[in-house]
Amino acid sequence: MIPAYLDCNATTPVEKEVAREVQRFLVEEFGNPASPVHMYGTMARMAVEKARRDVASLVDAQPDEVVFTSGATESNNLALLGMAPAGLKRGLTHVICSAIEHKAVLEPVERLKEQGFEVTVVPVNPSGTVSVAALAESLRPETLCVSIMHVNNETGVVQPLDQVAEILSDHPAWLHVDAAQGFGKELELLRLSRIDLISISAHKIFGPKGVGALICRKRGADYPPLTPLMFGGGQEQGLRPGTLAAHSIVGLGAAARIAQRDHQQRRDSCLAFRQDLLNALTPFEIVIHGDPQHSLPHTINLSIPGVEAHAALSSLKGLIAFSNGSACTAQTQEPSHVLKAMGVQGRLLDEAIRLSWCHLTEPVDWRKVCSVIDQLQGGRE
Amino acid sequence: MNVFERLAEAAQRENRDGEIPDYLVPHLLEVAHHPENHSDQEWAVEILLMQVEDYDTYAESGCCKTAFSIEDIYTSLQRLGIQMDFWG
Repeated sequence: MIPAYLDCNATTPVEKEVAREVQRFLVEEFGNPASPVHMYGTMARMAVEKARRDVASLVDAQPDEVVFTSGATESNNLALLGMAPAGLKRGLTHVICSAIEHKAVLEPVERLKEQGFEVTVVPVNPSGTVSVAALAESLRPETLCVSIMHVNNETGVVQPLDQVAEILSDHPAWLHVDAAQGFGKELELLRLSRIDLISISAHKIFGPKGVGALICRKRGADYPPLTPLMFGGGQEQGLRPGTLAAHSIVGLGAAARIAQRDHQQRRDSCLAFRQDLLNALTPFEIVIHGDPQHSLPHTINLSIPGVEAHAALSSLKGLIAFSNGSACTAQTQEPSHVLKAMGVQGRLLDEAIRLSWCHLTEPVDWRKVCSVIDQLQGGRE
Repeated sequence: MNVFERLAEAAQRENRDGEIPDYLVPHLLEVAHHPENHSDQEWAVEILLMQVEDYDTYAESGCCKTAFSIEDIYTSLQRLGIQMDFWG
C-alpha cells in the first residue's frame, strides 16, 4: 500500500496540465529563448514571456519585474545579498528579519553580518505571527531591508504583511517577502504595492522543481538596487545570467495560471480535508501550533500528547507520509526554531508533526491512522 | 471565453483601438474562427493572444523589448500553420 502524501509543504505533486507543458518545451519546442532569430528560439522566448506575464499577474506586478531563478532559495539570496553593496555604499547597514524565517533567509542574513551589517531578529507571538509592534520598534534610519515571510512553512500561519506594509509606509527600507509557501495559495497580500521583492518557487504550487522567480517591484521608475551574484551573460536584466530553463519556466507560468484559475476549488478541497483530519484526531487531545484563524487550510502543525514525532513518523509511514518540520531541517533532529520562537516547549516540541496536503491528496484511511496513534498513546480506553 | 474567442475579440479590438494593422486581422481570425484546426495547439494560440494584446509597432526599438512586433506575430502564425502571402 502506498501511503497518502501529506508533505505538500516540502513539495507538491506536479499538476498533469503543468507536466504536459513542461514536456512540450523539453522535447518538441526545445529552442533557446536567447536565440530568437529562428522559429525554435522565438517560440521558446515567447513561451518564457507568457510565463513571465502569468507569474506577474498573480501578484499584480509588471512582466519586466519578474526575474527567473532556480527557486525561492536563490531568490532570497539574490534579494538579500544582492542588496548588500548598495547598502554598504549608502551607509544603510541594518537589516530586519523575523525569528521564524526559513533557513534560506536566515543563512544569507548571517552572511550579511559577516559583511558588517547589523541584524535585528523580530520575535513572533504564540499564535505564530510576527510581532508587528516589535518590528516597528526595530526600524532605524539606517535600515536597508526588512525580510518577512508570507506564510510559515511549518505552521501554515499567514503573516500580517498588510500591517508590515503599513508600518513601512513612511520608511524607505526595502521590503522583501519570502513567499515560497504562500504564492499561488493566498492571493491578496502579495498584491500590496509596498512589497518590493517577492521570492517564489514553482514546486510548491504543483510545478517543477528547480525553478522560481524573484519579483522586483519598481518604485516609480527605479528597481530595487540589486547586484547580481553570478556573472556570465545578460539574461534576466543581468541579474541572473545563464541559459533560461525554458521548459521549467513554462511549468512555473502554467502553475501560476492554474493557481489563479482554480484557487477557490483548491481551497474548498483543502478545507474539507482539514475537517476530516480534525474530526479524526481531535479525540487524541491534540495541541495545534499556530492560530488556525490565520493559517492556510492545507497545513497543520500539531502535537499528539504521549506520541513523540519520530515514533509517529516511523509507525505511520505505511499509511501517511508526513514530516516533523521543514524539509530543509527535518534531517537535523534539532527542535524546530519556529516552534521554539512561538514559545512551544518541552514534550510538545518533541511531539510536533507537520501535516500538509492539497487538492490532489488521496483519501486517508483515518480509522487505521487513529488505531496506530491509539496504540502509540498506550490505548485511551 | 475560450482562448479562440479571446483571440477574435482581441484582434478586432486592437485593430480598432490599437495598432494591429488591417492586413493582419484576417490571418488572426483564421486561427480564431477555426479552433478545430488547432485543437492541440492551444499553447501557441495563448502565445499569439499575448502578442496581439501587447503589440507595438516599435517593439524592436529601445534597449528593453517589453512588447511584441509584427515579426513575433508572424512567427506564431507560421508555427500555427497559417500561410501568409504578405510577407513575401
